[in-house]
Amino acid sequence: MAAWLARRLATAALTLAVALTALFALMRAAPGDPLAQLTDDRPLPPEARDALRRRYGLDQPLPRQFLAFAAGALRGDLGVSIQYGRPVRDLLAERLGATLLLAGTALLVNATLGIWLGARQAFAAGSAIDAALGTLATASYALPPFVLAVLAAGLFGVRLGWFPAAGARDPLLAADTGALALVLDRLRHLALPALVLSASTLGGTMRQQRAALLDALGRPFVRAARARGLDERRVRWGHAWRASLVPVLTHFGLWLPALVTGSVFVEAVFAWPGIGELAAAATAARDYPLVMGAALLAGAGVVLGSVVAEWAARLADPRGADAP
Amino acid sequence: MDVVALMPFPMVALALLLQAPAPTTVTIAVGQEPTRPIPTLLAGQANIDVAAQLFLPLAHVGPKLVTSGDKEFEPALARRWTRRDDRTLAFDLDPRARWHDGAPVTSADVVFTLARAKDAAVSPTTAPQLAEIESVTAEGDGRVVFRFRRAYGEQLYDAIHHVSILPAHLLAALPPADVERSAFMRQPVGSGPYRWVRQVPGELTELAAVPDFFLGRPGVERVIFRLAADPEARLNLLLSGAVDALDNVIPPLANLERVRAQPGLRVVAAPTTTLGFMLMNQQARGRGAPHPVLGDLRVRQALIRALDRETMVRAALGDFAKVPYGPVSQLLWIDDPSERPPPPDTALARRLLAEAGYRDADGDGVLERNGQPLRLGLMVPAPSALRRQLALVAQAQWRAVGVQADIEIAEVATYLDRRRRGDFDLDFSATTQDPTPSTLLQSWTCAGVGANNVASYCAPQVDSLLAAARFGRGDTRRAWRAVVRRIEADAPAVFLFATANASVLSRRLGDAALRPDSWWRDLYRWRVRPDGR
Amino acid sequence: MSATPLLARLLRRPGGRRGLALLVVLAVLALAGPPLARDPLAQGDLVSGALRPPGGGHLLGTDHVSRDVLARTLHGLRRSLGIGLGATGLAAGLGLGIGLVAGIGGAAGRVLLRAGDALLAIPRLFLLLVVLAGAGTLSAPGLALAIGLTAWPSASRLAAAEARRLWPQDWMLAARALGASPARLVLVHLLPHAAAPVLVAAALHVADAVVLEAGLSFLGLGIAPPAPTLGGMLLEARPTLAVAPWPALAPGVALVLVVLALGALADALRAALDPQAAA
Repeated sequence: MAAWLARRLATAALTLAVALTALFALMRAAPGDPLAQLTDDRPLPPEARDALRRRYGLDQPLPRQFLAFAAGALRGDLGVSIQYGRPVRDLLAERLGATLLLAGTALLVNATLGIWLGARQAFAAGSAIDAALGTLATASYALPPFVLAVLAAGLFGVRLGWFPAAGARDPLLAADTGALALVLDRLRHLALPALVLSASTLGGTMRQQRAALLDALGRPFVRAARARGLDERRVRWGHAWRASLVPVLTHFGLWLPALVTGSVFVEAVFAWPGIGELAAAATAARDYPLVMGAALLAGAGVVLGSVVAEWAARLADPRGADAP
Repeated sequence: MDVVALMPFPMVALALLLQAPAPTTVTIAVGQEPTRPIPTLLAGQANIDVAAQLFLPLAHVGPKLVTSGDKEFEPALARRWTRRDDRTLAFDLDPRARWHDGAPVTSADVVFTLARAKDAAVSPTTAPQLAEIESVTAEGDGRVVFRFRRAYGEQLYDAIHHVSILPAHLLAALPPADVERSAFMRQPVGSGPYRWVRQVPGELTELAAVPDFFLGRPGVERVIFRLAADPEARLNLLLSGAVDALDNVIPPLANLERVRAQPGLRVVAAPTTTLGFMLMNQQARGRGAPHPVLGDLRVRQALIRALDRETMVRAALGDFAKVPYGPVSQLLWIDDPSERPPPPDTALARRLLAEAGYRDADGDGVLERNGQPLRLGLMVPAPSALRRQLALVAQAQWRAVGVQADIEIAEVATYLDRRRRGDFDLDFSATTQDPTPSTLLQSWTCAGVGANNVASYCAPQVDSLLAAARFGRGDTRRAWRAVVRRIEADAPAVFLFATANASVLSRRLGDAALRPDSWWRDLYRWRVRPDGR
Repeated sequence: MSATPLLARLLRRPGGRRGLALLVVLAVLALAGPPLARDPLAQGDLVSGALRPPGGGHLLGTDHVSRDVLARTLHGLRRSLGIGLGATGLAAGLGLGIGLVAGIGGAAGRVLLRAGDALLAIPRLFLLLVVLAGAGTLSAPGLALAIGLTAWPSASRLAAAEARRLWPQDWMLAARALGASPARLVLVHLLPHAAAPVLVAAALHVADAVVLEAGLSFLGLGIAPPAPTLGGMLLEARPTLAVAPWPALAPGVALVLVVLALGALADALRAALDPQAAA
């Protein structure tokens, strides 16, 4: 297993390197000038333009710029953001917590509620409950987060006032607010973004779980377990559900990019200070160092996530352990 | 259980001691994060808004926003100014002015700041605006003398408007290129009514009142600029009571209904220097030759007269905008509301197009000339919902006279790139003008071609009229009006909207007024009901 | 694969019948609706005719520039379905081809499979942001192309896994021993099996592509107006959603129905193609 993990991690690193190289090339081929938005599109005297290009290393030939990025990244230095004039590493570090909190919550909801609901659907396949849950999950999956967010913020944030309509914390909390109150404030602000991100992703997990479990329930070993007179509860969760874990874990591995994409929209519409929104804005501003830094972080997360998912799937399914 | 009861005794005592009443606070929702709120550094609007609280200029443009002459200005760091001759102005600094660290503001600070601001390598956007200033010298600690290259009406404006004053004692030792990564950048020190407290990245910027501010103690003790990039999120923050103020709540017009449904909020209108127009490229895409379609004045006029601009603007912006006459925003002091843009006239538009040689020979509803259909691209930047909406209407109205306009939504970086290269037929621009009519210089003169005049509109007559207005003596309003009339007659663009800013303020802020050129600038004069939210 | 036609097996399942019926209804609306509807671009009175609630001359109301929401929804449904099907067809075709070649050990296929992994490593949205930024104004086929070209890696993974599993099996070895040409082997014996999981995934990909188009509209990279798409309509309705929800209602419902139909179809396909279930 250790050898497998080492090999898999090496491939993952290589994959990430190829991906970042491609992104760099694509981004630099796209039209746009990082200095244009920095200056509100006021015309710059040529000498000023040259000075700014020098300051941000944009005067160097592209291959050299790429090598500088690669060499820096290996040392943990991602360069300086053009928009912010600050180190990319600091900018990402400041916002990583918010992104992990939001995406992590959605992941947790999917891994618990999503799996449980999907399993309930499968156990009651064809029933009204199955159909209702399926329709609901599909509807929230189909509506874009930017619409769901408006509905949720308008209803729960403005009209009912149950949760803050946007933002990640109350800026008016006194400096000496206790830890408990701070955590509660965080959770209150997390509620709506997490609700929307979970709602717009839950449908996928439920579908996968339902299908995988239906598949498992039809297998001979489940019938055999029933024939042995085992308790139905144990047959369902102990045998069938366990067997359905492998495809569901694989799904989670492949699904991380979708979580990142969903985060971009949800962070934007709820003013949640995460990396997704930062990266989308950086792309629009052609803040090359910040885009590359964010892509490195997101890419590493996605690639590592899929390795972990594969690894977990192998643990869950011992038969796969010696397969190539 | 009470949280306090969980704390050990010394902490309880400390907590009780620190229990000062919460400061009166105003929270303002903003769409962009200030990244470099320091004068002379590259600045977008977010930086300018925050910098206006931290740093003071020598003087402010007065409430009428007249930028010519020496009278219509308000003292700030300078308590008065005297004209020595038609090329020399002397400013006496207010002796009470202090930096937030306690040091007095002196003439050395002014000389230092202007030197940095005039260096294009340091201050790329302000340097060109200070080109007419020949020298700035100190006379003792309390007086600075500006010398100009020639006599003109806006000398005082140029001296005070483009840059606020920086503390030389903190910055002189720092090479200009290092300012961006300095401690000063993280904790700016200014001379304004508010001092920097903290910035929470992606969330907020917090400022605190300077109690002994020399122009008067600020009534609001704390200001928080709260970031929400999405306009819907900003409005929701306002409607749910999380912020006290928000500017530009329309479009969409429907937002006003939502605001007016809340008794605790009031709408405040203020004219702005924002102007929206569809530039008609005088050169073929990529430049080098006259535009095959838009090079013809009759076609340009037809495109203007085919649109019912009044109705378009009223539908999108209600009473908060008007159709401008020439490139003149509501705030420019040379604006003359009695001169109205020509009314829509589709019959005339059709006739003009026919005179220009366009016929619908194949009967498909689109006119042709020499077998070429009359088809134009209308470039619109993606983030602007307003321009997208107006472009849809213009497209439909042009189609009615046989012109096919293809809306090209361009992602913002691509949009700016294409604009700069002149790669468009029609460009739906919106610009926030400086308060001076000299702002016309950048976009509507031959000298601006290759820079901000992206549509390559070049009429030597406009250039000479503009020079006459700019360097004329006495009241130059008539001369400026001649420039505007000439531009309007040449039809280089469809001038579509000059907006007022519909801001919303919490009633807690009393009758607080907004400055038309810098909305939150006079915030220190607001008196706020302390009951808070 | 058994000789029973796939369609018959689909129709035998309630989910399949439901999904197919819904899909047929949507397809009929998308194909027959537009010619019968009003002009989706025609604008009424801008001030008094905008954001009218359903009723009067407009069954589903009017949008922010007073266009008929019903007409736009029907046209939008057609275009959005077209984008979804086009993008998915391209992705499934490319993915199958690359996956099969890689699965039977083709070097080029394996290189492409790795490239696909790299493509998956960058969140797709960023990839599309960068690629589409340079593309300028997009037509529906252009957008389908862009979405399809970034969606094939997951299809190729599925196909490759299936091919890798089947290639060494006895009946395949037997066919090889009988002297069947590699092309014939792949096309006749491998493709139908490897296509099954790809087909199941494809049904959902159509839905994903339709939803993704909506997201791209939000970021300003959708299809050039005034051509309606479901996503574009939702985007334009968003700012007034709290006061006038109807311009969003019809495209929103249409979007949900598309995803529901394709989801039900995917489930039924999976069951119908499962050899154990068919046994």
